[in-house]
Amino acid sequence: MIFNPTTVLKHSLKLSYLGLICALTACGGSQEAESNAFNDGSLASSNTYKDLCALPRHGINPYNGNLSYPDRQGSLDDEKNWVRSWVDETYLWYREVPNNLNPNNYANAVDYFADLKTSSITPSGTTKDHFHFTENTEEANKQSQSGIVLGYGMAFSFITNQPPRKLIVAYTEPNSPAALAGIQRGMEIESVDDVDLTNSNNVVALNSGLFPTIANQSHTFIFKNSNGQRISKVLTAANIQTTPVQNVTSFSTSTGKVGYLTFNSHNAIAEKQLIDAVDKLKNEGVSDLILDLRYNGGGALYIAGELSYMIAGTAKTQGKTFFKLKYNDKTPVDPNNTWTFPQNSTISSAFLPRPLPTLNLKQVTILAGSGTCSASEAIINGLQGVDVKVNLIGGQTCGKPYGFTPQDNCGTTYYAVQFQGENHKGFGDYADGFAPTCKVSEDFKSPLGDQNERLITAALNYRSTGQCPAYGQAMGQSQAESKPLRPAIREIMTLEKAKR
Amino acid sequence: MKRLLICLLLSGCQTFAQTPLAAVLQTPSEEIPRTVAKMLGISEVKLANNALINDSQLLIERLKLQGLSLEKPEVFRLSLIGKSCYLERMSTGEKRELKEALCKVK
Repeated sequence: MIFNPTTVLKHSLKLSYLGLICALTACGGSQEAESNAFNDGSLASSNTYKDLCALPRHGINPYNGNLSYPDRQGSLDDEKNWVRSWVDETYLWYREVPNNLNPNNYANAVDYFADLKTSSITPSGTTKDHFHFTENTEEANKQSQSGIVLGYGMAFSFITNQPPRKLIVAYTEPNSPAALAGIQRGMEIESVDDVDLTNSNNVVALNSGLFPTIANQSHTFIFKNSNGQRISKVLTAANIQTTPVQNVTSFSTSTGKVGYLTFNSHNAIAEKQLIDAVDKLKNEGVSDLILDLRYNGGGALYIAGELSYMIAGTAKTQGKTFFKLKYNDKTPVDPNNTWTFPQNSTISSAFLPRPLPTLNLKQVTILAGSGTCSASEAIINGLQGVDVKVNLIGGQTCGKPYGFTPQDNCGTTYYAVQFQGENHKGFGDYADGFAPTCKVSEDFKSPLGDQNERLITAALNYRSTGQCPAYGQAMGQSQAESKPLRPAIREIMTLEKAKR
Repeated sequence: MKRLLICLLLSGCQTFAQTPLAAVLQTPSEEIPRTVAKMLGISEVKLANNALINDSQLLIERLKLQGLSLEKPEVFRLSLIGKSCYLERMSTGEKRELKEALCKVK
């Protein structure tokens, strides 16, 4: 499993802050009965309190067409009232929100919002809603060229995120500072700026090196390669143009050619790369596909729909639902909530509608793990919904069939789960993720796209024998699985003001 | 004066009658992020150093692309009409002439 530059370490740090905040504010609220209307079911419309702020912003909003901020003078109570009403109106599980939380016990609307959610658990015993968060609105609205990421151009996997930590390079981006410095998949990071990554408690220093926030920052890393050799490298952060589709190739087998591609992010630049990849594989005459989504935390749903169509083809998908958004029973039914399998490209079609190429496969093998989230899981579920057989090799996917329509109020953007995605058969209950057909742990010894890479070997083996490799099961039991760590915001479906 | 007006009108007609050609930048230009931000109505946008150097199309999306976003990107396209270079926002059709950036036919 993977994580990209936002991590376990950051997460640990956030949890530390959380502990402090809880101590200071009686986290969870005292749940006292209160005198206002919060617990009697007579909530006013959220519109009543919208943009009424304790500290209204003034001047021009730099992220909204240079219009003035909508804020008006209000109070902290107005902000809390808006949060409570908005959650009641739109939250998917609004009936499970505790109705006895006293807003007066919360220092601000953000802390109050954090507790306005369900406490239910999934069948596996994990929290059903761990996607409930807020963000500074200006941060949420920043835009960039598709695929630009600030960093060194290397993605990591944590084998263990608590001391003794173990952090491995999962892959590098072509022509990135990391790739140009000779950093390769499988290298272990031993230290950052002389701070021992394995055991140090200096999380701030480690975070600042691993996750630079400004371009041109340089940090010194000690890597250990597969031979045990230590390599010191100074890496300078830059705005990297990532390549979401990599390693497009095919393997010859006794039962025909099997295509392979690594797909790491559902962003806009992926569309052309996916089309080119499918064209290439089609020209090579593949009759099967291994789609590597192990590091793909999601992104744009239209990209997932297009790739699913390119895999399954017209006959299996014509007129069928790829993804249907299911809201709470207070939300009016919208026919646009059903997404079919797109047969044309989205971006290119702005100039010249281009039919998407298709492989017309009846089955596909997907390499997956806990880094396989949201839009990637929509591919799995969407294909299963039209009876394409999906073999999963690797680990359990992360389990995020949910999404939101974020809402801004008084400079904070609120994310509460508002919809669940379903496939053509009406299935969308995968909050615990999709279980692998064959559980296989990564070994990081071979490059992605190499026939000897463990998950690819297992996929080819399963395809020819129908058997999961014994070593996969054994590794799964004996070795701690690597863990991705991305911020929740990167992994959750977002219905951003629902424009289609 | 009348001749000048006729000339201007004719040259204008000629310019707009010309077919836009897909273009790329000859060298990176600061005018591109400024113009994109203005057309989007935002204060700034982060672009790669080589934006529009190899491709005449620029795709803009949220910096923090969500785990499952239903949004589609903003598409900008660089084109040459005569000797003038234009950046067009495809969703609105708005087209702005670039004054500093040097373009060439792709």
